[in-house]
Amino acid sequence: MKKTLLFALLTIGLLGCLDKDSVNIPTLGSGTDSERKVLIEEFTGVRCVNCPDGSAEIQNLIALHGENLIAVSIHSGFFSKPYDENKYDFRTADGDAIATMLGEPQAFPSAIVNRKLFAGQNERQISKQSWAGYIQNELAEAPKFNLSMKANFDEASRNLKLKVTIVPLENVHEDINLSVLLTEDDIQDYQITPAGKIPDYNHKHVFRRVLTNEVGGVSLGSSFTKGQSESMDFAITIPDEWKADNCHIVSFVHKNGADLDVLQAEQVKMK
Amino acid sequence: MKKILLLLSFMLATSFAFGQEKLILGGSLSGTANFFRADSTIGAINTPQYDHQLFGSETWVALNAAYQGFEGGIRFDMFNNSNLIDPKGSYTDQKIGRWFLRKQIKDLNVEAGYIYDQIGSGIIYRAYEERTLAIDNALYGARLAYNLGANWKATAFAGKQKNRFETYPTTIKGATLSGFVKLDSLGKFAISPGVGVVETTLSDATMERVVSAISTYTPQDSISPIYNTRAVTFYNTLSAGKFSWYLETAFKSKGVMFDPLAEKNNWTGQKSLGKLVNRTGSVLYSTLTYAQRGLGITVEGKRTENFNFRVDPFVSLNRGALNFLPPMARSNTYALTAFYSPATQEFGEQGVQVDIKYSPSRKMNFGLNYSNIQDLDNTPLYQEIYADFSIKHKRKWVLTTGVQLQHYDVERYYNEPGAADVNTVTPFAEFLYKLTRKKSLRFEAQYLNMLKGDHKELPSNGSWAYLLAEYNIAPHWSFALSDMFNALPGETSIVNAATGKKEITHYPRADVFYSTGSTRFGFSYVKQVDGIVCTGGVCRLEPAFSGVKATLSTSF
Repeated sequence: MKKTLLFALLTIGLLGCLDKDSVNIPTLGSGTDSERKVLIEEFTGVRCVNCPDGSAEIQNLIALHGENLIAVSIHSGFFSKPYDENKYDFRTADGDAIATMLGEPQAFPSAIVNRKLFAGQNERQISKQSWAGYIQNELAEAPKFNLSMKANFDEASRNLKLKVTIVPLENVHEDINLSVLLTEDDIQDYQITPAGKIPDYNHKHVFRRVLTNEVGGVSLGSSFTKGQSESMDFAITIPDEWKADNCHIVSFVHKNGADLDVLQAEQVKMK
Repeated sequence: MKKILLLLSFMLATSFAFGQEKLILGGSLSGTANFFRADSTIGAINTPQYDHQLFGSETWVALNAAYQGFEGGIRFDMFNNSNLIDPKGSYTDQKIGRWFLRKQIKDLNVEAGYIYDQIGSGIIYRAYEERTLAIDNALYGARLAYNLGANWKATAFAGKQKNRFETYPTTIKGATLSGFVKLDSLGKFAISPGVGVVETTLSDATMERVVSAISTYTPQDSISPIYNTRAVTFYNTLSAGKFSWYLETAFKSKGVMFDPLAEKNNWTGQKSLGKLVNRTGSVLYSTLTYAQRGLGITVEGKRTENFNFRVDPFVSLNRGALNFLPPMARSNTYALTAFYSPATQEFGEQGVQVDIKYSPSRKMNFGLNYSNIQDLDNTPLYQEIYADFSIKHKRKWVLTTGVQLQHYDVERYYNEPGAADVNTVTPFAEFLYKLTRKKSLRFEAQYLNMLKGDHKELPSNGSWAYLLAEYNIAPHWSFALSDMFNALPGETSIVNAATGKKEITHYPRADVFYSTGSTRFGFSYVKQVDGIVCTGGVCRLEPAFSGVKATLSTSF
């Protein structure tokens, strides 16, 4: 019995002396001072009741990081089937192909940050609580490429011409691809929420299509010399139902192998 | 290299054992092969298996050896396009899933490898495997157990938790002291006290992620995370004649955890739910049992507050859990009485359960169970009244019948904000009729009657019926046919794409099982509704399944 008491006292003592290993949190405040831009691809659907909560978290992180965080909302999977009341069907073959390529979410909200399989994770899809930390870590890394885009949209023909220029910021020797895609902001349509179906829910960053031929992007090569720029041109006719004023072009350079890590991303308004 | 060394260690141990007398060798094999056939009418689509893989399997092969105090074991795990771990994904890998070496040296027991263990009822620590839920959270490390005399034992362990074929970076260590004390010379009164402590230390990489995440929080939500979290538990079983009383109380020091219901202040000025918090936790759990010939009564109670104890604050569902919180609801076995199962709520739950079993004769059994689970604000989460009665007639037939009444908070348990609560009345009957000494027929009929209340539609999936007919030829064969269907579709029932209406959807199933000795083969055609599957309060969402399942289990 003495041993029991001793053990009990020891454990109680252990519980009481834990405050010395706490860690101080750096203050970020609003805005991010980094050359790096990070891509977050949210997987969502109009029938996903928990997804608006995830979208709100993305808006929260954009409010914090500003232009350094680029969001794409891909409507794919079981929850993305439109209701009868929906005006639009946000599902796309490209979006489904991206979901298949990167892995379907296990639960919602779910997103992929920089298409990266982070150490200790079993899949690229990560739940909401992990987004902020991984984005923060990615922002802290120096970019290997600089990306710039010049968009020329002709209102009459609805033709978009795009020039994407990449500039390696260091020598890189691995297979690198470029992906370019279109998103549209501020589309009001039905969405299930905890308060029920909202008819004029504001859908943001809705993925529309991939501009590169393949959803995995177009190859840029496997050897890059610091400062040696490279450009690619794209052309597309924008469907009438997409509001050009609300469209964004998102491009990113990424690894093309077992790893698909995004090394740098950029976003410009189409118009 | 490390793995080769481990294998060599095992081979050395077993080859040593082979050279001795009275070597005991044993093992087991179990496997499931799923042939997927897409069926959009039940939502069995849009996974790699339905799209193009068409087949997935899981296999576990274990071999154990024991000799004069030495024990060793090795288990090969294989996942081939499997949807067990990730129901919506595909997982392929095969490796040694477990090995262990154990030796008894007088009063000291030494064990290394992947270790399954538990402290008390598991509230602060339980390393276990539950294959149906894809749980294998063995401790990869070492454990020492020392007998302090005849009735007392102390243990100490350290390691990391298994994460598929890897480990989580967080380190774990713990210790226990447990004993048995007779309070009278006849042994009618005795106590079995115990105390245990477990400590986790986050890795630098995990802490870096925690700090990164918290650094994005607004100042009012910011917390100071802590590397080390300790949990301590005190437990005791008092045996007094026909009574047995188990009491366990556990405390957890501050530790970073993700509370999905905590209000978070966003930079946009809006609020959302879910953030990392740094809180202490506690659990109080007790069971009082009275047993005499023909009568058994169990009363259970539990209160849980902030007892999320995981090796990584960013993992959820069944991943990375260090502990097991006992459920406060009965484990139902019939298809429809188990349709709505409550998962234990680690952040806040209080519940009671009363279970009475009465057998006035060998021919009759009565059972009554009541459980009531609330959150810490006294909001009802789950209530169940379950009564059954069985009668046996001259070894010719057995009739079991009963009814279950349930109240179930879909919003909480399915994580579907705004979903209506479910109230059901489920009568059921089972009839076993022996045709001959070896041949028998068994029938089941159940009806889950969803109460509409003042809703426009029946809540959730509506009302369901289930019918089963089974023909058994002992000791080898068993044939079963069953159908489960949504007799009255509800709010979330599947809409037929062609008609645009919610229609009655059938989920038929046909099974053939063959058993010989300890080997059992199964072959089943299955249409399975999606839903939450629970074992002991630990649950996971099972997607709809359409296809053929082949199973094999054997031990040798």
